[in-house]
Amino acid sequence: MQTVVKINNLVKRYGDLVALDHFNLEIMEGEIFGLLGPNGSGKSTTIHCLLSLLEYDKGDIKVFGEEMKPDSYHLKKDIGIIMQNVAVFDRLTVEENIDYFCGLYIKDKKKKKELVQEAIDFVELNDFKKFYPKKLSGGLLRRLNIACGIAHKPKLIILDEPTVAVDPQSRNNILEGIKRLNKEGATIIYTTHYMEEVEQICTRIAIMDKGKSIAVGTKEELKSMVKTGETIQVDVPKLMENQLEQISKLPHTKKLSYENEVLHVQYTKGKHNLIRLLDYFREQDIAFGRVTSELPTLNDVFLEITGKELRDQ
Amino acid sequence: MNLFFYQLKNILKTKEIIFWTLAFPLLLGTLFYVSFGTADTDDRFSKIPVGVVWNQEDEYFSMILEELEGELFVTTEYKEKEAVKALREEKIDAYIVVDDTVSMKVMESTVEASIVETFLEEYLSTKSAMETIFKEHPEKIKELAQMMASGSQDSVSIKGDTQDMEDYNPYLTFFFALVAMTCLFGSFISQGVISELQADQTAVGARKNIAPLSKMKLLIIDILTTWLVSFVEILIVLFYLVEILKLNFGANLRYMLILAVVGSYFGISFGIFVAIFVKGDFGAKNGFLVAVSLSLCFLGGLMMANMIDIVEHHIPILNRINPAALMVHAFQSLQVYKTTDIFYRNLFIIFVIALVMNIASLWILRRKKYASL
Amino acid sequence: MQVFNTYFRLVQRKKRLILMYIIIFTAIAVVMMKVSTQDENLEKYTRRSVKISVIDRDKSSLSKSLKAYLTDQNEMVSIPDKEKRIKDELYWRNVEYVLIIPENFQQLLEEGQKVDVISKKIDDAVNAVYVDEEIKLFMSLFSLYQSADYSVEDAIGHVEKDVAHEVLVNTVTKEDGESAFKVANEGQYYFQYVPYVLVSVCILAISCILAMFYQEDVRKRCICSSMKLKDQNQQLVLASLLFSFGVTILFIIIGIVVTKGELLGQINLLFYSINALAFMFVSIALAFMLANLFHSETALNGCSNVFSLGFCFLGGIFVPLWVMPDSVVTFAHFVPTYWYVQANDAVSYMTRVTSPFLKEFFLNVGVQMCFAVALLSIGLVVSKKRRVFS
Repeated sequence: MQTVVKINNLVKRYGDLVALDHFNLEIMEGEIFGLLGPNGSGKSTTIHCLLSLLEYDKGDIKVFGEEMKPDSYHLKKDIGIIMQNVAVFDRLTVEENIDYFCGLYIKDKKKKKELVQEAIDFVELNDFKKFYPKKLSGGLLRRLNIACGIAHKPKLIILDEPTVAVDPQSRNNILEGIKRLNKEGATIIYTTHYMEEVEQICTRIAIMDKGKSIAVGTKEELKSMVKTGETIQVDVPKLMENQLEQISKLPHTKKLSYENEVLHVQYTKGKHNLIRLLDYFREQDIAFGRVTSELPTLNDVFLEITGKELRDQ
Repeated sequence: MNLFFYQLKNILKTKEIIFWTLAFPLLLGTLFYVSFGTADTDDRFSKIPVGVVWNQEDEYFSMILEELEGELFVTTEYKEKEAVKALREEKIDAYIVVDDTVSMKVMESTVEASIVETFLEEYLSTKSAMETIFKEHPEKIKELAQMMASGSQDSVSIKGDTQDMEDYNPYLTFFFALVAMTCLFGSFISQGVISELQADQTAVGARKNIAPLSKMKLLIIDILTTWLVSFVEILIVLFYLVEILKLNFGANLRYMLILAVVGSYFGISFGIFVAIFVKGDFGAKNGFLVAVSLSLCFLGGLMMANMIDIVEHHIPILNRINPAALMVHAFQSLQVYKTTDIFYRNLFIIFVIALVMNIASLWILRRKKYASL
Repeated sequence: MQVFNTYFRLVQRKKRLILMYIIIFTAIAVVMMKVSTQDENLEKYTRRSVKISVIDRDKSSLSKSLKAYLTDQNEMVSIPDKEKRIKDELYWRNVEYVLIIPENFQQLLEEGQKVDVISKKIDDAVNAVYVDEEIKLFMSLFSLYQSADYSVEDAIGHVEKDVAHEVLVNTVTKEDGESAFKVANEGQYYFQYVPYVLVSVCILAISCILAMFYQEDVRKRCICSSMKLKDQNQQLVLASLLFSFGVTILFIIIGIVVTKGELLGQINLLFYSINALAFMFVSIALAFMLANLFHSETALNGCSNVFSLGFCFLGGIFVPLWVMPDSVVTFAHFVPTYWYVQANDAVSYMTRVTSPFLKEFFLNVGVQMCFAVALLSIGLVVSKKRRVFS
């Protein structure tokens, strides 16, 4: 597999503030690569440097095996970007907007027309072709934003927090769309601070904090980095002190709490924790209600490594 | 009450609007002032450089010239060819040729040349008179010459009655038009504010339309706040012009306040009216207001002082309804004529037009249900 | 040509507003032109005449004779002998000088008494002085004859003959044989307003549209695209040039129409047009610079008027420069409109293309181009700063 993007020792300073601190990243062809991190961790800065929108102080960036520079037009033609802010002309219709941005990449008029229509189909904006951006709702605008970025069928698609303030349905559409694009052969870089999205679609993930990459790997690899295993939650109306003690003695139990008739047990690694717990309840004849089991989230990973939460920084 | 202050703060924070409606008039006013605020309309009487070519001797004429030397004229003797050169190089405005009679040569039609011509006319006429009398009543000549020398033959004096007009400085019209412009520019403030009230214009508008406050109340608050801001701005401009630049507007505080009140009311009514009745987005309406305001001010004399006269001669009806012209005329009547009936009448007309626009706007705004948001 | 086409698509969207601005400002230019050429001295030397009115309350032969003399020398307007009417007529400039000859005028003079006549005028400038001089001359001559014991009738007769002497005024041509009097006046005044139209419309259209392309997020997209930034910018420049060229040509055509085709037959038109084109470059450069400095439409609308009015006043377009104090005139040299007006004036005096004319003309045009280059450079510097965000 080819390396699509290789970032080596990237350093970017804003005065005294170090936005990127010897940042390293390697993205392979065909991945949906997630760049996860709280606000201010350097995600957007990385993207801007990658696109040569921003000057950086040290390090090098290679895209498609070549050094990426502001005038690397032959590289740029295979890159598509979708920024956090919707970047469209207010005075042009949906169709005209897509047509314009596609036209910056594709010179052939006929081909462009086909591609524009395909893009509109892809984001399902056919009913809104002649609408002006002002008249579109947030979700539709995002779709337009995406269409403008992918119309020219780029091999590398970069999305910088594309789902901020988007309704769930549109968000879902966007995520599905990204998966489809990936299936059609594009490599995707996806930055966000929403871990659920990353969990949903990304093949490989890098977690960033304070300009450094603190963990890289697949979902499973990351989760296996942390000591936390699954978390089981059971609605138990009545539980006695000694029973609680015994539950805590079950293998792999890490943490235990019982509040408001809800039993909360965190396990370290290990299989069959749930079955063991439920067996115990049956043995003791303890009535229980709802049972949920959660695997560790990336938030847990982040929390463990940095001591902070991913969201709401 | 809270709403009032929030809205006020909202307006004042919009830097662009404040610049446009306040800083620009002040800047333009300063520009006017620097350019011609201090122009003296009768400072053109500096000594005129004149050339004289003596093809013949003429004692009498040279005597007359000597008297005017250093006062009206500064004369230089030339030979014909040198005189032509001096004229072309604009060293002299004209030159006089003295032979059997006196004549003159010029290159351009200038004020100075006209003065020289007048002088020569007087000379020729007087000379002719003296010659006639000499022929017919030679004994009187000596007496007459003495009279002329002492200037006591002037039995007729011209009493200039410029009392009414003594404060008339044609350049003041520019400043009057500037104040009118400030009033009209108040429309920018209200246009911006009203678009925040219209659901199909801004998201804020949509929100405001849903809120349980009566639209009427919101609208009134908008009108009051914009009026207040515009009013204060006009006062600032007036203050600047009259107190700091020391222009003589002839109006005292009371009249200026009345004008500021009515003017600002008109401005904001106009803005609301346009915001509601003119189709287009915010930018289009804004541009429309700018274009119309400037045109009205142009017709009121912003770029050429006697534009109002010209309009009066060709399309007088325009002067009766153009708020800029009405305001300028109101100012002029105060300053030049020192009467107040024109002032009040014009302001009344302006007020009525504004009121009509306001009522129309209110009517439409109340009933607005939106077809598409 | 993607960018180029989209540019004009955006112009289309702003069509109404742009047209409105063009129409209004061109209309202002036409009106100003008509108004300014009303009382110009054309082609030969004519003495300034004043619009006067003589109210003769005496109706004696002397007063009638005086009135006749003044009528002869000036432009007589008759108005009724009513205080308010006199005030109004003066105010509206229908008449510039009103002379009131009181009753018993002749009689009092015959008795050897001194008499006052009343003059009402608007401003105390030179015009009024002429009339004062004429009255004084007439009356002092009359006094002379009176003192020489002529009868009133005889005196009047002689005075009339004396004042009938006209001064011979000849004109001298300029060095190159050209007359110093203007020929193509209307053209001069019309083209004088080119800067007003061009600056307002260019900033309105070009700046606003460029600002849309320069908006941060859109710009980021454009920079990341595979179309060379240089090409994109070139297309923007080309489109701007084409647009303003169109506006300038339109203005010139309207000028030809409004002067009833008179301009077509004159070579001056060529030079007026070259001058206008030079200023067009200045306007574009200004619009470009402003688009890089300001991004909101309201701000640019504002700039459109600040710069158009400001430049035009300072350059002496609305108010002639000789009215303004020297300091302002010196400052005006730093404003491109000043040089435009200089060139415009030079063209208005020309009847034949001579080399001193060409020298003067192209000097002024050259300075305008320097301004264009300077403004363009400032714009480029600002735009480069935005190219790579740091």
